[in-house]
Amino acid sequence: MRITLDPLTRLSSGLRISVELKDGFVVSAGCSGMVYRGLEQMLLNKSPMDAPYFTQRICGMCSSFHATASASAIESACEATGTVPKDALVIRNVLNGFGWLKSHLEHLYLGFMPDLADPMYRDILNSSDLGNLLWKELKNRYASPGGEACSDALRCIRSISRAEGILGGRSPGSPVIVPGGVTSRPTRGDIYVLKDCVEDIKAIVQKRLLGALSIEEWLESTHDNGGEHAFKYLESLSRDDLSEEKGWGDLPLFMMFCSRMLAKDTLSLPAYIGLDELGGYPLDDQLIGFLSYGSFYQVRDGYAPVEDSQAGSFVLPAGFTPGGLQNINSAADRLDPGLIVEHVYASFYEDGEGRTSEAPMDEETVTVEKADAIGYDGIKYSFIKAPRYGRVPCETGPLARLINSRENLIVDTMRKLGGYKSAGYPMASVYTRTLARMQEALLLCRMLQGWIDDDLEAGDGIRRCVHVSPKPGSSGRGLIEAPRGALGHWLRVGDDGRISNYQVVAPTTWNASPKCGEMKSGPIELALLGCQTTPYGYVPGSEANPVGLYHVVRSFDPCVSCAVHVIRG
Amino acid sequence: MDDLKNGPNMTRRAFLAAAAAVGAAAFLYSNAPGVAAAIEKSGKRLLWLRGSGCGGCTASMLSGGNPEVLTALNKIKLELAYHDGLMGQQGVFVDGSPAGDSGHNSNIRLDELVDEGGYVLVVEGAIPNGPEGSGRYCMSGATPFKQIFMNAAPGASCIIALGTCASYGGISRSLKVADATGVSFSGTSRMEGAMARYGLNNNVINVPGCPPNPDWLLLTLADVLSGADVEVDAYGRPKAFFGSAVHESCPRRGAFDRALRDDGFSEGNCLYNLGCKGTLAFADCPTRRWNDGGSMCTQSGGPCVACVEPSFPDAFMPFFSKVESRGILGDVDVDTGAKIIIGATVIGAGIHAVKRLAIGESGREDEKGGKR
Repeated sequence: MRITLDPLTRLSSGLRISVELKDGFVVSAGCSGMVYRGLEQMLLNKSPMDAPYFTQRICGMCSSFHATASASAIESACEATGTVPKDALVIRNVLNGFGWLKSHLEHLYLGFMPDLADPMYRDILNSSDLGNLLWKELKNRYASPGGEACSDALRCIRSISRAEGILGGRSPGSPVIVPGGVTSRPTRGDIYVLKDCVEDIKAIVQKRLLGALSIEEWLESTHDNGGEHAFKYLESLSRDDLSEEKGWGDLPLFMMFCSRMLAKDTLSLPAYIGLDELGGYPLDDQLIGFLSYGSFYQVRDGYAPVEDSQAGSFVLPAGFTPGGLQNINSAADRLDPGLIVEHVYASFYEDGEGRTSEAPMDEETVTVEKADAIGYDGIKYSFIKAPRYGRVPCETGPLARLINSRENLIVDTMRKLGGYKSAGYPMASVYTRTLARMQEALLLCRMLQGWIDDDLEAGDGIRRCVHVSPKPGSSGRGLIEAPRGALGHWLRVGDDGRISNYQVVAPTTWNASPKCGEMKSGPIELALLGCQTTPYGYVPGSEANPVGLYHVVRSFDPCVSCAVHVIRG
Repeated sequence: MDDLKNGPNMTRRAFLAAAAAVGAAAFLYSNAPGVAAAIEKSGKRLLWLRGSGCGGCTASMLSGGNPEVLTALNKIKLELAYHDGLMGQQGVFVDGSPAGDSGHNSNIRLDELVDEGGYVLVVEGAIPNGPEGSGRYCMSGATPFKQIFMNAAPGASCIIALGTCASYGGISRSLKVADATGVSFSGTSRMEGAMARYGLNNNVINVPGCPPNPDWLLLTLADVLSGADVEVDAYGRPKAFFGSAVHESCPRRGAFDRALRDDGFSEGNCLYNLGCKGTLAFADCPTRRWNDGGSMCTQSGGPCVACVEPSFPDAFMPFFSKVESRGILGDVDVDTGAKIIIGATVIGAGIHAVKRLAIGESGREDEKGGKR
């Protein structure tokens, strides 16, 4: 049986997923991005300085991240990364922090969580009292439209946007991130409004994600000390009442009841949704790697390009961790941007003179311009290219970031899952991906408050931009983390001073990549292998509403407008 | 409906002018029940299609406006019946055939809505015709977006092209091979727009902006749903929002008048020398502002890039080059052009003349296409 999800909704449009099932299990999967815009081709022969404003139109959700990556690429081409003023970097941090938090909330509450209120769960959970309680919470919170969590999230998103607007002029599409720094000059009054916004935002995030605990309390025990505090806390909560007031914020509720290992195996609870069994990688995660570029500048003048970011330019470190649980016991590998290559074997582009893969800066790819060549049945099936790190397909995003920074809650949760009896649960799954996104939202609240309270300065006498001007023949790259993961911009300036090559490899290019020249599938494709139509296996009728597959794909928070890119027509 | 048309103390015209002058919040809080009643009578729903774009228009609608778009629609009881970024359903095919019903399957839902007709259609993103006229550079549910739009347009009581891509092609039009257009225009040309190309003739209102301000959409919707004949300019934009140049009320206008101009970013004065196109961009950003009225581009030091204009972005690049130094004034003597912009009579006819010269418009369309 073949199930095709097209369009997969509640994300940026244009994603098509096609899976073949045998005896109820997915045996092959194809992931296609079906919108082609060609932003990089448009940039050819344009002024390099225009790139940040132009590329932020790649994605309406991540406009500030594209602007930042693009500005970094130009700063790196000018060898000026060390001169960008501290106050500009703080403003970039605040703008990106807000955008990041907003993206996580939109994905969680408008994209991912509504699937947990699918009526299928009512029919399964109603066999026990606890199940009925759980279903009531899921439905009241996440049903779309009308769930409480959704309206809280919308309120929070507005508050965040208000804060972004104050520093950024407007959101999305803010013009303030420019090569060399930023344009805005916050007043003391602006900073007071921002402080007020942050309080408001934190209050909503705390109420939603944690219920009873404060963000500080939660992070102090689970992030600063160790994930086992989270398990103890979950077990201490009353299971007669699953309301937020009793401590069952969205994070504890998800962490407990969306794990078969915790709810069923460990505590023998009669109600659970086994998202920890869903969306892992076959062969014990070893076909995959976890990639992050590093993000958020340290508060000081200048920053080092990503090659040196292990030296500490970024708050969240860059790194690479190969799949396999044993690899989290040692530190993440140092990131080598030279290992990043892209394949077009299965993508709607002409292969360049027999070469199977190329580094982004050297790519000369030609878009398919024949209508007949765009279909689903041939070797080529997507507008998304296939980036690989060395030869490894990589997952990128909150989970990869928290793996690469060895974040306590995530690492301890993966150890507990992986070590459960002999079978074990996969380290990457719908469960750990979503948990990582929630934990990161809390961490962002803490970081944002820090920058705004301690580092953001008002006043006209402060320098927030240096003059940069890329020389003919120069080239640079800007590698940063966006909410969905590793985002890279590569820029080359021609002898005439105009852009001669521009290349964007976005997070979803990694996650939703099709097969590469070595026939290796991309992360979403791999994560779908072995899945069934629901977390409980095959349920009659579920082929027409395969909630399990929705969970897997949406757990990656795909964004197709970012993912599709090309250079040179 | 009657309440809205004749209002107890207001003429209809005054009412609509008032609606445009205030933010969506003020309008909706005082008039939501009236609009809701009008919608209940007309049985209208909102069908929101997204073509080739970045999702920024939807993001903008969720990001500001007071209230944000979902709450606002709820307030006026307008059902958002289809939006691929926000709806519960998704397209599901089993062995190639659509599976399930409209409760779960977005493609079936869309077909049913289109069959029923009578909706307000919001289009976000451009409509690519390439390659080779196939429209396959933008596909959803195995169908080119071009086809989806052609199916949905005839049944719409009104079409709102949201954002510069849907209005004029915008960024998406920059790639020739994509052959992407807006709904009723491609750049400044009506002949090249999707409506003319496909032989469609519904009423289209353009709400451009990259992204558009949420107020522009909500207030236009309110006008349309209350039965208004929305007054538009030569480029199909409601005059109420796109009637005057950004430069006229720019927060940095004082610096401009005193000839204090920045030559580097973040210096705090007029951004003209940094390439600000506020003199050529027609929108009420300076008075309405963005994200709950907090700020706007030039206030935060970002030169205006004229993102609401039909020729955005190509005609306004390089973004950081002065208007008169980059040839967009065509054959006009630079001094004359600069005088028009910088001179004391910068508003009104002078600015329009500059704008036409700037984007290569003869201005003839003004006379024909003004009021729709």
